Amino acid sequence: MPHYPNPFDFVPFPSAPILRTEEQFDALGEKLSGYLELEIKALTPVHVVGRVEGGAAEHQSFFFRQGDKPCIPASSIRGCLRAFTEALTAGWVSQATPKYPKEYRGRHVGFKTFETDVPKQSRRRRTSPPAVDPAFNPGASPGELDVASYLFGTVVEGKQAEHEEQSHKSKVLVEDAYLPLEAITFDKVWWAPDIGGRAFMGGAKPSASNWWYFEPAEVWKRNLSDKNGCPMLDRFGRKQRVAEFIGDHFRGRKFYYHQDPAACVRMYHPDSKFWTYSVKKPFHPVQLESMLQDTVTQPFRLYLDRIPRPLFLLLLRVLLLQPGATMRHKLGYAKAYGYGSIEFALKSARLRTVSFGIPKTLKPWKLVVGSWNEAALAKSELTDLIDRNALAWLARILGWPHEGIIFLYPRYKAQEFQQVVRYGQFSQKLTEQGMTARSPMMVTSQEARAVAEALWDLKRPIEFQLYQEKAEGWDIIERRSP
Amino acid sequence: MYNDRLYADGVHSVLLVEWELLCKTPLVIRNGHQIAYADSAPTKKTRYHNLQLKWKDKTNQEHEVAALHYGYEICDGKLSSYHFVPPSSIRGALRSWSIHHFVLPALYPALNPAPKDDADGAAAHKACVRQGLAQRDTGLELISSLFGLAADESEEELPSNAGRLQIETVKFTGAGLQPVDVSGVSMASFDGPDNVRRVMPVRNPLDRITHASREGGLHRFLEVTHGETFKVHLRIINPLDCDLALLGLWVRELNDGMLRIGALSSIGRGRMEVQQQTYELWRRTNAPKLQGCALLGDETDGSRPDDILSGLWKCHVIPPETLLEFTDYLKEFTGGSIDASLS
Repeated sequence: MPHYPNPFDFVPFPSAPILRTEEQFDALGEKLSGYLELEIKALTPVHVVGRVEGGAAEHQSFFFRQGDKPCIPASSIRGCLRAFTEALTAGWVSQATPKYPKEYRGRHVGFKTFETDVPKQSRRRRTSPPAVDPAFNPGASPGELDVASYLFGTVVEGKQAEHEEQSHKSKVLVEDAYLPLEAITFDKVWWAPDIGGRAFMGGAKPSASNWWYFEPAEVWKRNLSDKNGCPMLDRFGRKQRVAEFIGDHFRGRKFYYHQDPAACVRMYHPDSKFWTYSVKKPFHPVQLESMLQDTVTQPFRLYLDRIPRPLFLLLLRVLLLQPGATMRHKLGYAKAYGYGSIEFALKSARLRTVSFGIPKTLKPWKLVVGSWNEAALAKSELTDLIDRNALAWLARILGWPHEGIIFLYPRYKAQEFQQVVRYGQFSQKLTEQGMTARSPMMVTSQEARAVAEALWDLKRPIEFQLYQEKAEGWDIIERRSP
Repeated sequence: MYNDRLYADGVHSVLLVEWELLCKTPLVIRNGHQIAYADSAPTKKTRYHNLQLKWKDKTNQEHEVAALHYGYEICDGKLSSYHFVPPSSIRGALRSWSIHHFVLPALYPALNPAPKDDADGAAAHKACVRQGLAQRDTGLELISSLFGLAADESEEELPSNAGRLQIETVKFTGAGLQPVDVSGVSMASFDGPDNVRRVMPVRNPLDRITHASREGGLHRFLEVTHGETFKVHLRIINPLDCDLALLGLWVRELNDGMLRIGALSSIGRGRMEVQQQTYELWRRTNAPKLQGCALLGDETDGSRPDDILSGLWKCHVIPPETLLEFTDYLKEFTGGSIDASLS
């Protein structure tokens, strides 16, 4: 039986970031300043978390407000645009948790995002390579910066005193987008699944001991031990061993697929019988006060401060994703369940070209957004600033319309996330496929895929990409293009 | 060559400017302090219950929030605190905008003396000051004359002067207790300033790879709610024609949002609207005439009977709409140009 694809996917990292000096960016062309007046249209209900109230059976999350007005905060809008720009232009990873240390009975394999992780004390000493190529660490290349940092600014943390030149003020200023009160409401079908008393369901748990967030690297034979550290034995007195799938590098930058939230969350409801909940981990939904589908925010402004023309044309493409109109942005909470699909609409623009001396008056400008094809990118002088593979992946993940595809997390049950792969099973399944299990077993990406294929009937969510490609609707997703 | 003896001929005229600024977007003025607030939400998954803002350092159970700038005054023998926009914030914004538009980037080292232990920086500073002040059209004279020019003790041979522009601000005049809004929930505030409506936004950058909150990224700050107003008084001693043009440009750019006050302009904070503006030029009878004197209003005795100059000096009320008519004088002073080829 086919399964539903996972709600998120990764835009792979390129071999190196695209970097320039500030002077090179400055020299890209005539500079523009001024502002765009925009609106945000909700394509699916949008929720930005404000006040949260709890009850015994469920929580209520109210839409974020500023003063007494519902509001999509500027920081959310900026984050949405910047994350897209970083992926599209092979930029730095501007926001990342720096380390994930090994934890007793928690995280088996510690790692750091941009550095090699050498565990201080561990029975299984594993030196984890940086999960992301350090070249993508902001400030890694002194004197240079990526497109997103040039546009949205950067503060290289802890280095301001020594490398003041590495901090850059934002050239894109975004104001809050307010909503009329009548644009938000609670609706009984707008909720997100959650588990009572636990961390939020669907919360990110990146682990280097599976091939979900990580590119495959090796397979370990892991001895299970009890809470006292003693080996766990099977009924024949043999040590219990499992296969552990170790990764080395993050697959890429995460983005969520668009989908219909009502259809999605219905599958997480206990009544669907698809997803089951235990007494220890009870179903505890969160009702979401959301911006109604097809409503728009009040106009808000996005300011530009001396942006060279090619990067202005890039920013327009990032904002409006047109004229192909095959992609849409996501913003706010519960993206994994289909909430937060939006589009920006340009209402007007008041701009001026920048020259030294007395600044000109801002004048209305008529803007035409360029396409993503090569000729249009070349005409906009963007050929060298776009990662084509990232664009292809963004078009797949952020493809619009969603065509009714439902995306669900793998369940915590047999054959899915709960399934343990005993080492004996692992060895046997590989042998059946003409492969040989070794310990440790270093694997290439092709070998890892073959391993996951061999184990498919036992456990499906092992190798992320294989899981996605075997999911229902992948043929549609794969055909999407910018 | 620039002459730093700005008052060699004495003070012969003063331009008094009053602006009332309306915060079109929230305004963030930080003072570097982190204060505490308490949230009695019963579980980790709920938030904003019985919120209390405490104007003191946080304890274990409390959260930190970056404070909004405030000062102290003595009222009826009691010390009390109040929020206000420091004049330095206004001055900094105006100076920074002016520098970016009128001073060549190569001369930026002239604008900030180098640290004492930085010999190379000090040499660059000296060279840039000399080069920048040798000719009027570098823009450095305009900045130095209005905002002042600082020289280190070891740089006695360099010109230095206080600026002709002085700025004062008036505290916010909110009456009664003004709670802090936290996403539609009122947070009670004790023992702190409360003379303006405030908001406490939360920012939480998302990790690009996991889409979870970035560890250590969660932070909160206080800001002035949009819609609040405050007054600014500017005084320019011995004003020049170009100063009037600059004032007109500042007002235009403030209203357009191209010149912002305070922090976090990246998330749209600090856009202002100049709601009310008055310009009075007070002149000694034998003061040098402005070149654009024909653009000034009629001479009057002014509207400040209590002022020390009242009855001694004459006053011209300058209509705000005439300020930009002085632009050619600014162009002449700085060598800047207006490009009329707008698309």
